[in-house]
Amino acid sequence: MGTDMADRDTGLPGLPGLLGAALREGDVDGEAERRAVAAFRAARDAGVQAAPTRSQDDWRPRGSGS
Amino acid sequence: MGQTGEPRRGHAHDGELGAAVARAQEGDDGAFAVAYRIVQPGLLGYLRGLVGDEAEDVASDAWLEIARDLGRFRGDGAGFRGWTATIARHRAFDHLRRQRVRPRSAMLEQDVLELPGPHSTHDQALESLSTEYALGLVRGLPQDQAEAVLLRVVVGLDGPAAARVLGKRPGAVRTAAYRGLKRLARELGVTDGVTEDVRERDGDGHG
Repeated sequence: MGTDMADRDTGLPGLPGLLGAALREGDVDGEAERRAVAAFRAARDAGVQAAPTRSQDDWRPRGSGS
Repeated sequence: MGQTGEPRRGHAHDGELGAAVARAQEGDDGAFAVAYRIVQPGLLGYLRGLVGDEAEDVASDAWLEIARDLGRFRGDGAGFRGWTATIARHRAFDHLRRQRVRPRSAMLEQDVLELPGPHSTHDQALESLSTEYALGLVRGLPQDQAEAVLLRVVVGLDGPAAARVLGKRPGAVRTAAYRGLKRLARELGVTDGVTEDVRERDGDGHG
């Protein structure tokens, strides 16, 4: 759940996990998903996804090379 | 720091997410939908903390940008969480500028005021942690603490990734997350397992 480190860092066992679960609650809106996927298709078909990687787009772990 | 190619500890779905993102970058729209479903709940939780009821609209704007710029992204599943959180944060602040509302001004004071008294036990407090109540508590934190808590425990970022999203040093973000969680625990009446001193282990010498 991505909370093990928070638990360890904070010394608050349980709270981060439950807080995270409470705040991630809620249905994923199917219409919003369809709009996102439609935007993806449009961008793909227009070829704009071939744009170059900027520094803010590079999230590779440090030292991973390539 | 000592990363040897093993996945960074983070969200349980990071492996699946990384694979979906890689397929989406090759044009697979079904894979993009998979990535959306994995990331959206955490992103929405983060945005609710920043913009409240406008979170879904801001998330939609963020996803348009994510869809458009996906080809630029480089990284794994954990990296994709960080990249998308950064985009969502920028869209949230654009939104707030347009609304001329500061992030904290929309705080749901009422939710905090409607708190029951301190709970007698840890479990009792945590079992009753509803989404709205939890959101009210988090939005009552100082902004730096709220964002650090949201990025760590809702989006599921590790410390360095959360720091990158916020443009701060990892030590500062770790301290903010710790202070925020400690304050939430105090407000919930949860005291067991909480040390009274705020640990400043990273010595990042904030003011």
